[in-house]
Amino acid sequence: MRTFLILMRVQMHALIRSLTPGSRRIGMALAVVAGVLLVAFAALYLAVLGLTLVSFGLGSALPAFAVALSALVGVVFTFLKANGTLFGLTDFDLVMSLPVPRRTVVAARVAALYTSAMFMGAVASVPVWAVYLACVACSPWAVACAALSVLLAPAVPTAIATFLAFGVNALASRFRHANLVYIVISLIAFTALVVVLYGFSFTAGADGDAAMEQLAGGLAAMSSLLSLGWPPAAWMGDAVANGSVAALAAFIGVSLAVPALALEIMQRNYLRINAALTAHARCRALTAGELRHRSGRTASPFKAIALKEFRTLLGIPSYAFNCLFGYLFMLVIAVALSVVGLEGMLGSGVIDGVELSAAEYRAISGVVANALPWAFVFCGIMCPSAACSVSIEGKNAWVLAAAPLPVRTILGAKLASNALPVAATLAVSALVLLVSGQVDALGAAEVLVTGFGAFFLMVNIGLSSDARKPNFSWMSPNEVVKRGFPIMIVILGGMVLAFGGGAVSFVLSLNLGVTAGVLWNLGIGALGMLGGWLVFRFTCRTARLA
Amino acid sequence: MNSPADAPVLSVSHFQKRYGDTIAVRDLSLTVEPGDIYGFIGHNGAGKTTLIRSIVGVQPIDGGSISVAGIDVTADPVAAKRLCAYVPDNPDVYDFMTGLQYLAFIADIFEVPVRDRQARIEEYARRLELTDALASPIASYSHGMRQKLVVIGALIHEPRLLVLDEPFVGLDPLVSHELKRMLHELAARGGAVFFSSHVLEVVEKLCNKVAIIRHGQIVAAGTTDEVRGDDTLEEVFLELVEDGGAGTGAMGKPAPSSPSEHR
Repeated sequence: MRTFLILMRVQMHALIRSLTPGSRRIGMALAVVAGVLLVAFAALYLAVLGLTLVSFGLGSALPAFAVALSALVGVVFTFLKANGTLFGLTDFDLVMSLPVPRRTVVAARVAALYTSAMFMGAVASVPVWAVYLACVACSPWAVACAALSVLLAPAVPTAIATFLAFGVNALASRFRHANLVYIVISLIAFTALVVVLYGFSFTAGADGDAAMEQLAGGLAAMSSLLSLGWPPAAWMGDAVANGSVAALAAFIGVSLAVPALALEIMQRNYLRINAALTAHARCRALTAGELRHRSGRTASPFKAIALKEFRTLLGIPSYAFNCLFGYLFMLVIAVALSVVGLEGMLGSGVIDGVELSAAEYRAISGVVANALPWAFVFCGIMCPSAACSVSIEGKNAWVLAAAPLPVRTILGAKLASNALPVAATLAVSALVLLVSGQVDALGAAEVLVTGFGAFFLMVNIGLSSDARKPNFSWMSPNEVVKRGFPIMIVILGGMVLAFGGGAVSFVLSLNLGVTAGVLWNLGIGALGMLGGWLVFRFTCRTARLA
Repeated sequence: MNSPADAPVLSVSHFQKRYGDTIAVRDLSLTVEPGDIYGFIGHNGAGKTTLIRSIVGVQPIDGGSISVAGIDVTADPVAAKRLCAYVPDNPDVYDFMTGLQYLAFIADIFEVPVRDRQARIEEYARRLELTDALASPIASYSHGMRQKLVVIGALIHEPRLLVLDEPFVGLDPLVSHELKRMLHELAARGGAVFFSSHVLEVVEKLCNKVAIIRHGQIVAAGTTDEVRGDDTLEEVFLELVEDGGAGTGAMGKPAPSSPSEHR
């Protein structure tokens, strides 16, 4: 037990360090604020969802829903974190050579995963349980069931997800471009999810009471499906609703037995599993002709660094996940609008319940068109790869630091590798909207200029912060890609800019006319580009690349 | 090349570097001439890597000056870096690239002409036995293979000054022998090699000049024969490091008590 606790303490140190990298108080404060806001937002959203289910008479489904939600969060979190916590450890050799039983080592790693998954699951399920206890039934039995559910619901999913993560990682390690394949599949899956959700929302909001009944029926069917698909959810639902001790015992028993069995299987095969994961795919040797041909390809230093940046983005999955979704959103929005039409979308109620009639839409179509570029501003700031491109070099930072290139060339290439694809995606989106008749030429120009200007300003502010105080000592890329100060500046500052700028545009368009809104949008875009350029010049004078 | 023809390949003058309140290297001076293979030895934390990182321009200097072929690394870092190549103690390179992609990247950065890069990649990869692995991702490389890759990358632009930090760690005896030959060839072409190592036998056999650093200060420097006298380099090193190099140095030679040029 003592060794288990010592190993757990190491895991906790690693977790705390990853949550509070560096020593910047502002960064840590921002991280805490962002975390609290995110948790509050998620809790609010789920509570509203719970209340909606109650209003449809589906309150009794909430316990099962809470368990399934915890399970889902547990699966996703464990799947993402297992590689690095349980597999592919940097300290694998060190830990495994210690005089500690293998079962203890694996148990400590799984416990760390489980504790984190339980916390994440609690964030998702506690609001739902709170709604149930407040609006449906509140008894000591229900409270006890809720507590047990929060504690145990992620156990089985965590156990299953560890095996799933192993399978995927083992498969990925056999392919040279495994990361790229992994990223592409995830992006396709995400796009499919967005399209399905959008389709569901659009259908649900289409036709008054009939649609509401349809939605309620759909939710009831989903609830039944959920209970069938995830038996622990059904057991917990039965235990809470009917006071079934047997169902609760089944939930507890399975929640303890499955992880114990998984732990035993994992510890028995732990050495073999890690050996399989470290066996990277090798390619066949090049022939002399191939070597000569491939080594003869040249590029300018600027282009070489820009290409290297693309490879970095696609070579680190968490970097790609964090910085590629914005591109996808832009294209999805443009295509969706061109298919459904702005008028159709605003008449459907899919956007926050807004349902405009045709006459109402015609009256404010200019105002709406002026608000559209700010949706693309929002998407643009979700592509901030350049903002952490200095820190992401990590241990490789010496390569560019020793390169005979001015800081301007290095940072310029990093910026270009981000700014050019954003500009191209905005241009394509604007073109799609223009060709489909959703915006006129001026509207298309607004999408491009406002979207790019805001992005360029914010990403340069982020890059400036990163280049002047880089964090090269990260252990996991998430430290700079998800929780890094520069990324946080871009995302939070960009959101303020998107919502604030959009609100001003809306007010100006309503009160002073559409032209005022157009001028504001184009002016902000132009100012953003100018401001971004000035920030970049300043950065080149003050940057520290090693 | 815009450097004076008669300038030493490396000139360090009154170099000083501090980390916070700690002075890592104090008032250090040395000179490396064309054709030199210069060994730099010292205990852990003596300041070897600190000096090396400043020479190759990956960290700023706090005092004194460093010139590569007459070009001040602070005043014109880009021109100085163009003449240098660096092999760090940990060969950390981009895992997501293949070996060949990394070498092409370095060749692009140093703007090496097509014919030269083709010939050098082919030759050095063959000599260091890395040809078969060049198409594979660096993530699949062992420590020694990464070390070889970084060495090839360092030699791809024919540097005037090759700076290596513990270059023989992780290399097998055959490759280690080949690397020593390559260092000799670079020196024979008029370049120079400056490297740190804890393997004193290698330094003794390979280097024509050597400097010993202790707590950020040079305690002995000169030709290898002068520094070791009739003893082995290991004996001299132990004696100097244990007695702090104060007063008289090894072999009765005066240890530098004040900053001076070591040629």
